[in-house]
Amino acid sequence: MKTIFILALMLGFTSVFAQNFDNYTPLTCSGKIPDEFTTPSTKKYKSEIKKLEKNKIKKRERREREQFALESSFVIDDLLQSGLVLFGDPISAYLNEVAARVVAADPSFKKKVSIYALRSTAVNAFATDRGTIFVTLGLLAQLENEAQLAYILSHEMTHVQEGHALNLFLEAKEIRRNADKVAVYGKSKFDEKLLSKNRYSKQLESEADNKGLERFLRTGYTTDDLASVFDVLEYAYLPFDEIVFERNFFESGTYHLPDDYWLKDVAAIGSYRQQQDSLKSTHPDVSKRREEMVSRLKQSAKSGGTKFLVSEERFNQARKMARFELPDMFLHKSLTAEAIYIAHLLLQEYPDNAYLQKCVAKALYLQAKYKNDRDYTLRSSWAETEGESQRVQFIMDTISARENTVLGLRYAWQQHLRHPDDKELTAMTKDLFVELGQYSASLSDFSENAVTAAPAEQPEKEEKEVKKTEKKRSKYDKIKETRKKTETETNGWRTAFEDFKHSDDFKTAFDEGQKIYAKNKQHADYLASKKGVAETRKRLRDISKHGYRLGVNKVLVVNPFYLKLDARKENAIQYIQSESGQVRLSDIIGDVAKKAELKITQLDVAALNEGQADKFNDIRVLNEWFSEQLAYDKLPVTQGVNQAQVNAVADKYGVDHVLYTGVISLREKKKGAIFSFALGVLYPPLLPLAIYSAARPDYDMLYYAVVFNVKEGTFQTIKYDYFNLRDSDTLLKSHYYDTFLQIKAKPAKR
Amino acid sequence: MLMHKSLLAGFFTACYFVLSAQTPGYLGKKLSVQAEINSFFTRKGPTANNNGENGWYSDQETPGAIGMNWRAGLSVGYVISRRHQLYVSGDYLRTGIIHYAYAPYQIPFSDPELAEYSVFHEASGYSGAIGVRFFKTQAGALAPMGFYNGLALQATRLNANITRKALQSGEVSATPFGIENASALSLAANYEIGSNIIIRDKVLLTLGARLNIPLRLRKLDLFDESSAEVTGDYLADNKTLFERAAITRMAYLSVFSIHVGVGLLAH
Repeated sequence: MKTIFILALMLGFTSVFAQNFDNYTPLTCSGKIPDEFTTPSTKKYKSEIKKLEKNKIKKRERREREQFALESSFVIDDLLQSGLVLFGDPISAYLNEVAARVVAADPSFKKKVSIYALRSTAVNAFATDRGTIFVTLGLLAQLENEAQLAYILSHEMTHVQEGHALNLFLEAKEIRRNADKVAVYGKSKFDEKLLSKNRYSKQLESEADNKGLERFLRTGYTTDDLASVFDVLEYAYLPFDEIVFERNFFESGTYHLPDDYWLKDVAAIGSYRQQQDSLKSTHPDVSKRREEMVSRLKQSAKSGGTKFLVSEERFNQARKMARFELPDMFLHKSLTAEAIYIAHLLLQEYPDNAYLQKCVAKALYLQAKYKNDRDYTLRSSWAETEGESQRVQFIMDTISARENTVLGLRYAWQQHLRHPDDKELTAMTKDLFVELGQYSASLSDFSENAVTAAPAEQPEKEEKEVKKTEKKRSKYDKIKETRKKTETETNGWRTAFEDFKHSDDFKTAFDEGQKIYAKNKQHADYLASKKGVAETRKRLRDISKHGYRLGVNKVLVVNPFYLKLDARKENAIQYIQSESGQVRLSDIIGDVAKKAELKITQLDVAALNEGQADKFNDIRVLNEWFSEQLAYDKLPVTQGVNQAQVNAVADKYGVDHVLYTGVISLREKKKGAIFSFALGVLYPPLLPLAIYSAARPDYDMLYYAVVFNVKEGTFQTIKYDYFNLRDSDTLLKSHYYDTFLQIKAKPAKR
Repeated sequence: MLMHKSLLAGFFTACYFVLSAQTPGYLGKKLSVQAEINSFFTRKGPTANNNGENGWYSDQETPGAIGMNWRAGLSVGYVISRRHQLYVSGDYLRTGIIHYAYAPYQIPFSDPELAEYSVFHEASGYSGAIGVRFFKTQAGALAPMGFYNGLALQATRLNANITRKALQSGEVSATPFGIENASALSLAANYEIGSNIIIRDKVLLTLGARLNIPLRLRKLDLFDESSAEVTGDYLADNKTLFERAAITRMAYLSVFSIHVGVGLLAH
């Protein structure tokens, strides 16, 4: 325990003061990669099995414990290798220091714990039986003091000490067995099982609350206001602060946000969260937990203590870092309103912060891309939001595509003027100028004078003339006039560029955007024409015959994925074979790339050694970018949320292209064996084939290979094929060879 | 003429594929050389050593129930695109042919008569084929590996010699039939399905089945009712009867065959 304490202290001392919030850089992992990140899951599982052999337990329980050890080893390692878990960072160091204080107060706590910060906006902390505790940045952002954090860690340590994860797993198995035996008339067995499981889960949570509190009481932390930790949980769905969102966040100079997009009154907090079905919850009701804690605190004789045993400054720093990470994390989930509101909260303290302003620019850019693409329907959620953040949500949900594009461009351009060397801002503005092309062909559209003035009051003597004129105008003229007036009222976009439209740079960028838009439109129109359709068909035939020809000589292969499933078994995922399959796949890719003479660099977390934290970070950056691209699907987003980081990684490895590839192998239950055999008996010449067909196992395989151009934000699916075959080495080699040839082959001259 | 045109068309088609396509192969290995065995069933028909259902030739012979004719040879394949493989093959075969033949005999003080015999030929020959295989990429195949179907043109030259004969009508005749050592040319178009399996990146195994469609249909008994007519020139008649029987034998009895091949892959 002392070792953990000292190590954490050393790490914390060296790292926590490195962050400059005025010039914020997102958190990365550093130092030595912890063993548990790179030790194969199979090894961990086997080590757990060895421990079980020492215990005298029944056969069925042993089997279930082995299953638990298997699943938990692989699932936890999946999380550790996902890039979401931070190590060597200031926050994790601080968390471990706090944990060391809690552990030091409890001599009976024998287990080794390691605490990691988890890049997630969720307000949560959870523990594994192996002693790994994860605290999300979303939770840290919401906490008020170190004592609250210490209590939460103490709660999680109880889960570790009591083996709750295993207990819940075994209990769930038991419940399922008993529920299957009991016939429940008129009620679904599934509901009964779920409710029983949830009841047990609540018991465990209550135990963690109580025993966690007992341990906490032995520390030097104060219990003053400790129950407010449940406020954190109760209001976890809200941002970490509630500050009025002013209209002038977007308005400045000549630009005014139209009234249509401004919510005058926001929903009161608490109005949508009052009814919770506690039966379906895995945790006890928050108010009951609070009451229990208050009651126990009254009974305890503890007094005094402090809210900060490690350091108030370090707590504030860690919390602030967690808060600064939030906009970026929300953007990765395309939650643009949330990102903007969090940035707004932080900009109160750092009004000129370039990172936060860029987050806002990215949010507006992303939102504009979604709105401009007619295939996407964004879910409107402003009605479910509470508090000031509802205003932002309302703007994002209701703003028109044109207004959004203009607003996004205005904001991005303003940032671009402040930071002309920032390539991300330059690229975003360029893309938004192109998007603008679908709405306006000329800068003269963006003018106050273009606004139609309301008609002046008519003098009496002209009344007859006015009535005469009215009668002459058609119904459609009148409708158009009315619509023009309505547009006038919402025409914020017209005045959006008054501040800079006269500058040469802006004009040049606008014209450039127009040209690119026109070219893209021409191309799209051509593709839709008869000739274009015929050319596309010809191209597809060519692809079918020769494959794609990308003309790429070097690619980065990231985390080749392999999964083995067996549908004949209760637990379909074959974890051990999946892990060994991944190693095999990686070897095959390396060998075949050499034969195909394609230069590749493989980045695989499982293959990293402890000194390669930089590669771990690179993988995280690319995985985040990849997840985004999957979410965007065909949306032409050329700038990812972390594009600058992605470009840096690409430059580091000297590539523009990244290959994401994997294999999923499924063994199915054999079907039609008897029919095949019967056919062979009826027609003897087919008997050998019939026997082969009847005996041959049913396998399916999914093989995919997608090449991304990370700098342009485009991708090409080389293969996404589904075969009724086993994933033999020769099959994989054959397809990878074909894939690599397609990547390498030069495009045909047109 | 038709045969020549077909072969030329096939050649130019192959050239088109070669000149226009990418040629990947299996890890770059495009060439394959295989030894192949084809077998075709002959239910109650004659094989190389057996008369089949015609057991009355000899008491020692067992009437055939399901007999096997076989051909063995070599096949050379070359991958010309992701989906196509060209191949040429040559093999050796043995079979038996039975048909009626005529030989004159002399009755004293009368014009010569023709005796009708049933003759058994032991036949052997060589065949050659040129074809193309189409690999099913949707099923995961990439030339030369995986499931395929194919088309080929095959020519077979059969040489036969009479080993047994049985008098059916008339008197015994010592006159030769004129077909003691005869030969016939058979042409067929093949449609095949099969699967290539690769072992240890080098060895190629093939298992397939072929449907053989005879091309010289006018020579078949089925379509030529005049086969029963005897023109009077027994030598010419015997030759015609042999040729029809040989082609019929090859056509009907090798309509469906199964083949197995094993060989090596090379660059």
